[in-house]
Amino acid sequence: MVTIDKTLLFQMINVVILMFLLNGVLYKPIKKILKERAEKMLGMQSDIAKFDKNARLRQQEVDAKMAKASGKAKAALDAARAEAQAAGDEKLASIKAEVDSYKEKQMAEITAQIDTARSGLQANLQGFATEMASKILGRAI
Amino acid sequence: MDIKDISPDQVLYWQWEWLNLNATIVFTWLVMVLLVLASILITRRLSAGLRMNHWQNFLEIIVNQMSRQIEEIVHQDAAPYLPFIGTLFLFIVVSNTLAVVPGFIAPTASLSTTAGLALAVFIAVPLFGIREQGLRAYIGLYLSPTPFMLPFNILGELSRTLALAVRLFGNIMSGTKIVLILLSIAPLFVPVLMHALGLLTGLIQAYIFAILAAVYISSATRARREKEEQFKQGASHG
Repeated sequence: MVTIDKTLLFQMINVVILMFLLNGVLYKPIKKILKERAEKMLGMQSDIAKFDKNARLRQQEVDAKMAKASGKAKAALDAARAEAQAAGDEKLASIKAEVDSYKEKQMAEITAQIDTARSGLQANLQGFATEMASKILGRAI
Repeated sequence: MDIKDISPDQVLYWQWEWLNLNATIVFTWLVMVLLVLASILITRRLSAGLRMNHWQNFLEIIVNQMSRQIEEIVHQDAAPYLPFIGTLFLFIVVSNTLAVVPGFIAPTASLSTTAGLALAVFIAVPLFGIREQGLRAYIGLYLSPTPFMLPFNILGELSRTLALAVRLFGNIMSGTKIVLILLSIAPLFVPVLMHALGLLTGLIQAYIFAILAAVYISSATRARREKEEQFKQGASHG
């Protein structure tokens, strides 16, 4: 048979006691820790935002420095290239001049040798002719 | 507990004059000790960091979910209601879950327990209502929409308290009895299935009991909020 007696009163008191006990050892500590974590997360989020902002500023600085260094490098490269071009042109001109003078000198020498050979040949021209005629005729002229 | 004992109240362990120490009270104390000890053991080394042990994580999930559920129902901060509704839920859940342990008698299978819990809700509802909106406004709820509704409103309060008590008692007691009967006629697989079903029923009943308690508290505390909202809407239109 189902009856309700003073156990009901005990159970009500038990529930109330349990409520106070759990409030002290369960709900309050857990709520407190959840609140602390939420605050910590909030703090971490503000730190993250700060770090993010700093990182962006650093990136901008690095980009600006990189652009400046790149400009400097380009200018230095252009200057070196122009200098090298000028030095090359100068060297080429001096080599060309040297080659021209050498060529003229050689031409003069060759011309002199030709003239010497020609005058030598002309000097011996009579003797050659006489020798050839005597060989053709088969007798001394 | 024997099959013929329909309530754990009938299982007496100790008796002295008018004081009876029955299974309902003993197992209620056992559940209370388990809950409090487990809470103390887990919450003594809580970590606010991101690294925590599994039990702390489990408790945080439980408390957080209970808070959310209460907030969804009462539409305000759950903090004032969490200890009461949370305790009802945890006590019923643990009692019903431990019913699968051989030898354990669920205190919720006793009408004294369920009626005690329902009476606690019956007393807590007006207390929360009066604290939220004052004695006059709360009593006014019973006279609305007309004073003729007073007896019906009082009847409604009583009948829903009775329904709370009988619903939980009927479900848990019947589950326990069915398992006991099946154990005597087919003691192999069927009781296991019934135990599993009883576990599910126990969890659902705990949820229903806690949710209904929250709904009753919400209905007792909402009138003031509705008036405030109406006032705000009127002010914004005006």
